[in-house]
Amino acid sequence: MDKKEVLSKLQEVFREVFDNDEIEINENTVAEDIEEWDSLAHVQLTEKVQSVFGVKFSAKEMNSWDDVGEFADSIISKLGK
Amino acid sequence: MNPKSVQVYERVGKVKTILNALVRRGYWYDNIFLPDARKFQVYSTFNTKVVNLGSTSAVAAFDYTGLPLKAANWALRRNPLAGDWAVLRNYASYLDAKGSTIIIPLCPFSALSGDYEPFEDRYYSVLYPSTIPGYSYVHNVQAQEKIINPIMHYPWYGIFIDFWHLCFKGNYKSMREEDMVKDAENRIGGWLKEFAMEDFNTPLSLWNKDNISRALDHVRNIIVFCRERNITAVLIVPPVYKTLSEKFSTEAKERLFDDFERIANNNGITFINYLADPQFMNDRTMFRDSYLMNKKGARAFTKRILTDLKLI
Amino acid sequence: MSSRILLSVSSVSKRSMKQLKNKAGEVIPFIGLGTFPFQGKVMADMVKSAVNVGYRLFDTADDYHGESGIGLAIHELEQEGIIKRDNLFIQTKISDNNATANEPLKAVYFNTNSKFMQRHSAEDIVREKVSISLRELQTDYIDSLLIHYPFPDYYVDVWKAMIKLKDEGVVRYIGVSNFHERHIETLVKETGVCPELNECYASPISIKQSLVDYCNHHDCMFVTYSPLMDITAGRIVTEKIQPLMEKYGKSLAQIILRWNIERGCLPLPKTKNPSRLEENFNVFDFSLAPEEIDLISSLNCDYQYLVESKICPGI
Repeated sequence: MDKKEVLSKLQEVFREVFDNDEIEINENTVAEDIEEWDSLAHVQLTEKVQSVFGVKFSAKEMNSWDDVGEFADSIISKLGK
Repeated sequence: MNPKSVQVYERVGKVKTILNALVRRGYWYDNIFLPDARKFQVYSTFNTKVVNLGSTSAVAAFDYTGLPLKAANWALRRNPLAGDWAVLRNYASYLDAKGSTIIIPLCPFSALSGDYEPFEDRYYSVLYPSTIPGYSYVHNVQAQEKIINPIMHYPWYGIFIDFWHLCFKGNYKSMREEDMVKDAENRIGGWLKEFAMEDFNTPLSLWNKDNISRALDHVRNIIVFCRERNITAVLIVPPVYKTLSEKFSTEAKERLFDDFERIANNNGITFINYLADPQFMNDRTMFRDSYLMNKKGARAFTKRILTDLKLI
Repeated sequence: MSSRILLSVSSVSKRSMKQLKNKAGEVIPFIGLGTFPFQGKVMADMVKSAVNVGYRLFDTADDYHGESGIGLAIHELEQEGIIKRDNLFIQTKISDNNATANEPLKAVYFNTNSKFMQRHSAEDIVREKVSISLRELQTDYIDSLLIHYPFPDYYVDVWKAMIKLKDEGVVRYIGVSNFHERHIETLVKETGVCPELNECYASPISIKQSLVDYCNHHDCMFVTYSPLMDITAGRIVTEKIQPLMEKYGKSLAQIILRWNIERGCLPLPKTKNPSRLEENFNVFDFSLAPEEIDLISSLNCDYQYLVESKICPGI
């Protein structure tokens, strides 16, 4: 899966978790760009992503992403292993 | 990959995601596949004031619903004292640093049950690897695969189990008195067989003595851990119905509980034995069977013990 | 040294007890770069960009799989004549291999259940880990070595090994990470040597005042990891800070980084985004008044994001 596909799938997850079909994400999207992105949503988002992509993140990894691009990079690196 | 294959692959992936989500919400996942793991996976209440550890009887005996304090039941079915020690070390950060209470429930045969190595797959979803005896990377990969993709391990009869529990929501009917008698006999027979004893009067084997020694070590570790962290430890024995408590003679109770009581006394720890407590042992409506309490019993017992400990 | 770096060195708060020096004897800027989870060429490019901005301190750990990327950057920077190794400050940590979810060596190190630990002493393991770090970082010394967590039953022995490495000149500063007061007290009681640094998480919503005060009192520099994580996760309520942002013309991230510096805490923000690298370093041309520092600290709710016992059971 390349980064474009991962971002596309992530966008679906974001829309589902935030219950907002108009959310558009890209590599540089950060929490401040999405109004509904609070700490609870962050946890829900990470759990959903783990479930959808079939990957697992450590607590450290979950808290290390600055933006959606880094989130996608982490997913790709796990899918590759 | 050609586009059509990619489409099929994506559709299969979506179906798998939905099926996994459904299986995770069912009875089989929480009670047979990974019993009692979910409450740890979702636990997030910092500054918890009271928790109980423990095994099968503690899962049934504690219910803090409606009580005016932050409390949680951290017991797991078929959980040895080694499991209690591991759970405490992993989740202690959730306890109130200014002061909290850990209730350590002992089953009648806690002293003899040893460590149950290796730990089951469910522990791989709730414990840090270094606290899982016999942990291996390979086993962890296999366990995580099962945890993430339970649909690939869902048995054919699972759908009937889940459907039945969805319809009847696990409502247990209280047993009749004669069934309670039979249940007690079966349980005692099963335990004596499990721990290779003819009866409570035969001398303990070397194997039994080893297990007792390990059990006491785990309790000592828990007590020291608690003392270092401003946690009050309490050792208790939950109640059982009279048909079962009658099976334990004075000598049997000495063998099974005296060592724990001695450790508690030597360390200034409260020890309360509710095994034959009259408030519970004579009331069949509080028990699911001769051993395990039902919801009514759990609420009454939890309130009783917290009152005895002056926590409410 | 560039004027930006001179400014970053001179405008450190009066509250700070300590400053760190590189091997060339220069005081390094009071901000560093966190590097997890970057690796390889991505890491190397980030470090090189950061050096050009003015960063000198780079934080990693032996289980981040990022040391080789930093080593590559050091090598290329020296080759290109941009900076010498002795002008940098590389910090790494002794870990139990837990940073990533699929780490094959989990539960091997510093674990009483591990058969490996029955065969090897803590000192053997520390020496091996340091030699690997030196090789990956392409250097013959480490500026700062920390114990990543107070591994129960092992952290005193690990500390003793680190003291030896410092005496041998392999490591210049030795410190700890995620240690509470009682862990530091134990180290001092057992060895007489107090850590020079303690790297922990702190934030306006989790100010850890008593630990910060304890470290300052014992000449142990408090280093803050993930100082901006709560912004990324949407946990900081900005109403109180907005006026400060407008007053100084700074972003929320810059205000929080400066708040750390004013408290004597060296922050380690992480980013590979070039504009955020610049932005995070651009915090030395203003300072916060004491009441402004207190205002930010008043957001404190002792927030705990890290369940420490799940990462270091028995902590």
